[in-house]
Amino acid sequence: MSLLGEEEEALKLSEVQTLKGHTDRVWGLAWNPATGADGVPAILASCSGDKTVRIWQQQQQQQQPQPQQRSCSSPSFHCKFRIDAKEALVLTLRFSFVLITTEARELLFGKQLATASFDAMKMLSLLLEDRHDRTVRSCAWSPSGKQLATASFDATTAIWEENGSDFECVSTLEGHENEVKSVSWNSSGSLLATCSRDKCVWIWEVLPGNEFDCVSVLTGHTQDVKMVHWHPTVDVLFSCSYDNTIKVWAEDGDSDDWHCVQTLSESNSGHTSTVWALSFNVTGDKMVTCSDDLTVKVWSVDIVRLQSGDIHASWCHLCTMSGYHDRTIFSVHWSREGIIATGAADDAIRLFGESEDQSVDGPAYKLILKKEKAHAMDINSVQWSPTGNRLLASASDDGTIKIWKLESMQGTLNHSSPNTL
Amino acid sequence: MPICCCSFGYLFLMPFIVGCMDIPDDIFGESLNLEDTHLNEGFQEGYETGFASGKDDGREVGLKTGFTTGEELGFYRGCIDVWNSVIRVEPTCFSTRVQKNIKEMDELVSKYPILEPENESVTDMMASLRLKFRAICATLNVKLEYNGYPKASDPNEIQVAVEDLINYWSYDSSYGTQQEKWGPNVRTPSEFAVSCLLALEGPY
Repeated sequence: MSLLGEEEEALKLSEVQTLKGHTDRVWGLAWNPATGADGVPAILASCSGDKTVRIWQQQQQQQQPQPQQRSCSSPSFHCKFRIDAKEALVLTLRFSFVLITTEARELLFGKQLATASFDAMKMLSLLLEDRHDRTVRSCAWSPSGKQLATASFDATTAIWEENGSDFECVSTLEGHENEVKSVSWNSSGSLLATCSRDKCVWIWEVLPGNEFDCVSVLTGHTQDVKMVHWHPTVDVLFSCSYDNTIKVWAEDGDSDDWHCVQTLSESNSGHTSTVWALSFNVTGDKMVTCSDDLTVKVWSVDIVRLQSGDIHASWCHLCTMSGYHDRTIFSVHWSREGIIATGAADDAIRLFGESEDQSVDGPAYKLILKKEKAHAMDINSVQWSPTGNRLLASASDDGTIKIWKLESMQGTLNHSSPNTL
Repeated sequence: MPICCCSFGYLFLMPFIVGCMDIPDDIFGESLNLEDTHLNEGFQEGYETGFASGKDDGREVGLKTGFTTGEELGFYRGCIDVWNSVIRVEPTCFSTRVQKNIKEMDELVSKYPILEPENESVTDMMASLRLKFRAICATLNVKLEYNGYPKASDPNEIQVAVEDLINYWSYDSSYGTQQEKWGPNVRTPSEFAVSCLLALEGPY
């Protein structure tokens, strides 16, 4: 079934909000999977070159600015933040304080808050700092949403847990020899994988009491490993690297014997340059990868075979989207609805969807929408919100995070104009 | 008549000619085969000298490799012995996984073919030992190392890589195409070198 319905509606990506706060490039984003629905405000984590991680929480829409908000936005608080960053940071470590940017202040003082039907991410930001000595390159929430893993260039991975209104670092995973590039939890939250410039992929088991046992150290890549990601339903690990390959790792039985069951390289119609990211569709039978070779490739597997326990079920190339990008594609993410979002070095976000044209063997994908100049600099990460509200977050070298909403062009007639938000 | 004489003369001389061919090389052979002889002599000399120096080199390399291998194996042996003693005193201190890894390391160290340096499995065994050791250390949250512990990223590696990059992307026409990759702000070779260093050491 095509995402767009029977008649193709024109879609647009409207900017909901810009989250500012990081003082260096923002490398990664992660939506908390346990939030965003059933009345729970959505939570987004972002990690940056400024060695900190920020947790952003969506606030409920207010019809009118609340009195206590006004006092929070009093000039004295704002000035205080500017003058004494250290003190202000202590203050911001409480959820009850609201960091207000100039845009939001205008909203509160000037106009009535719009009752737009889509969500706005208010700048309720919690700062996790003083833990990593270098850039935090990647962050990932556990499937339960209770823990956050952050991978840093200082060769460690920190595990954070919410403690009241604060987050504290409950564990540190050391072992990599140099910069850790990515961290990923498996679907059940029992395993954690990290990868690094030292060409190794480490698998950790999560034990009670915040203990982490190293299950295995996987070697095989011949260069810097850029990203690791677990399959959404099976405990099979995928890693992509500077050596142009994607490796599939699985465990033989239950014996901690992890090894590489498949390598997707140039010879299997793989990428011809660094593979930067990969993502799975919601059912896990397809995978999309993006690369420095300016293409996006879609792969598929016999999901029934894979889920029945055959770790050797092999992935085969389905489709290559080339000619759409003219700069390195750093990030790709497949939404639950089936839209593939890519973030590239040309500051643009592109969305791809399955095309109705089934004349070729297997599905084909076409460009739905291209958002040029989405950011002022390279886009490092794009992440769809895990709930089905078509919210997309993007992080960039310019230090900002933008929240976008994918909606139909006709939508603007029913909603208040975007300028009020 | 003259023909008969010539033929007789030829017949008379034949044995001499044949005889000359039969005579061993002491008269002509030596001067003819001088090149060969010298070649053989030289080769023999070289071989003997090479054999001797090769033996010396080999002894040195063997000594060095033997020492480093022995040091590493001895280090692992020591760690395993300590861990085994701890397990004997308190069997529950380490998780089953760690204990299993320690046992596997023990086996590997015991089975390591110390006296067979040319056994092909030594590199694999050593790599496996190193990985297990790193995994155990990471789980136990300890930092155990000794001088000469092999690391994936040598500081020299980075320097060599940078030098290679600078040599490869020399400041000529090919540089223009790389400019896009390394950024529009790179104009001079020194800036380019700095950006290389940043690229290797920093982000991405």
